[in-house]
Amino acid sequence: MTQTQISASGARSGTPVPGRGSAAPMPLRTRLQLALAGLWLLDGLLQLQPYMFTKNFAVQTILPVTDGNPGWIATPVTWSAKIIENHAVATDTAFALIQVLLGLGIAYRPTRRHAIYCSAVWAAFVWYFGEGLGGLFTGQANPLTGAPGSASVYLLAAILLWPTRRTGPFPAAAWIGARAARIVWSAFWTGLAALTLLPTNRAAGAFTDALTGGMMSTGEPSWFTTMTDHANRLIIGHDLTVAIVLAVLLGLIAVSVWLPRRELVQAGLIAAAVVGAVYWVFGQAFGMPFMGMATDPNTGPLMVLLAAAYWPVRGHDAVDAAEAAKGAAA
Amino acid sequence: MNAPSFLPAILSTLMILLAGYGAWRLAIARAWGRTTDVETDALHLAVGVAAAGLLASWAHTLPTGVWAALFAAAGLYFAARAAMVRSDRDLRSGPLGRAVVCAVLVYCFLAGVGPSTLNGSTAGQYTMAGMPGMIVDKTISFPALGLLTVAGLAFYAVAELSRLSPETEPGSTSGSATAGAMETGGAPARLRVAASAGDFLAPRSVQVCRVALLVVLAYAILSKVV
Repeated sequence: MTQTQISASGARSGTPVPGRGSAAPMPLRTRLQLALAGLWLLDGLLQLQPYMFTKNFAVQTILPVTDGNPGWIATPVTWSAKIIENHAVATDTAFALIQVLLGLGIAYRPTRRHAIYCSAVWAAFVWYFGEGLGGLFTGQANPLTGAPGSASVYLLAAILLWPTRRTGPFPAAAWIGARAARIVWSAFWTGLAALTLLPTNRAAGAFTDALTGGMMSTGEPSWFTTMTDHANRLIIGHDLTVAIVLAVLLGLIAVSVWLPRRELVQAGLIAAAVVGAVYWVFGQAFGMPFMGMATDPNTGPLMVLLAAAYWPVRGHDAVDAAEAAKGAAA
Repeated sequence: MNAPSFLPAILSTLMILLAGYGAWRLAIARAWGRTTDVETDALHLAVGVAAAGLLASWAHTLPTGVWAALFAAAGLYFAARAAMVRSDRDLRSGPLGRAVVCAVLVYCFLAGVGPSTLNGSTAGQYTMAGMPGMIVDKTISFPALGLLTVAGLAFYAVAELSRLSPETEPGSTSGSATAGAMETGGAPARLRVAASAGDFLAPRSVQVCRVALLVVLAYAILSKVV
């Protein structure tokens, strides 16, 4: 075997592996940052779909966001849609490039801090100018179909996974502290519970519309439409009941992070991840990628990511207890 | 369906450059007395040429069936290699990653991913499918599998890129692993193996090439979906 041929395959012939078995598992917080990077990269790639380079992206995807929104939201969204419509190729190239660079930047450790900062700024920009604040002011925002908007959850994820030297009882607590992180969690899930109980979301046929309405079933594979049809048959005529049960579940998830026992906290986080997964499959149709018009995978995967960010880290019980005691003393 | 022509042209050129770099490494390493990973460089050479043809007509080389058979054979070879060292995670990851790349290429060729002369997109007009005069796109072969592959490639690319830089964040206890990685510029374990056996030729550039390759393959598949 020549020198040139010595390689990974060289190890085959018995080359000793230096440091073999010494690699420790990657911290959960870093894994979550990489998951966020993967989602940003995926968003950037989705932005490169042929449809995104056409005027239809502005007309069919951005402009409908203005429906029902007050003027202070609708006007800027219309303004941005007009720019995109008139310069479809240039704007979409820029959007895709930004998101691909965000994904790669977060993945590469030396640029991670700056990339996460930029991702927060970009997510806030997209949430306002592209998603119209997720329809929160339309009175029709439904968490099942993606409210409060995936960009807002990207923003939240960037804040909770902000690179820092500090540690915490769970990954999301590292930068803003455990108490603040729990407040954020409770506010987020309570908000989802409140949106679920909006009149439009508990009205007769609301869940059926969310599951099979709009363009969701068009272009979807048959296995998926069959699955949603079955789910639809189960809940048809029980919209109010389903809304109340779901809101109670979301409320329990909201308070779960404050519970004293680790097992209960973990149960709440698992429930949150399951709700995120169910929303993603049945309400968001995986972000509707089958038609070539998806800009992101929607909020489902991000909800699972958030739940993972609150997973208790072993060895931080003492820190947690000390913080709780400090809070009680205050 | 097709994106603006400049994008496939740029990415095809990038893939050809990547293939050329793989060929250059294979040719120059012996002359310079440097170590390199023959399998990786050869694979980058083949994938670079094949991927360029997936994106632009002018870069088309071998027939689809030949490419599919070639990568299927290579994928089986790498899968067998990975199976032989399945108990060793460090040694397994290299051939396994190469087998995955080969599988993606086989999928691309079987699913008909390739350059198109059509401009624009019929996406959205799907909503009118079945109505007289409306366009129904028939180009999708395996969209669910394709989209799953795209997502997998995105996360694979991120994982590969993260290995370029040692993780030194708080909470990380990988001190020895980090130190080892820094010695070879953050190269993964399998490259460190080679580096320890000799002077490895630019290991970080190999990983950069792999990341570029994964991202471009994901784009090639997505550009096929409506």
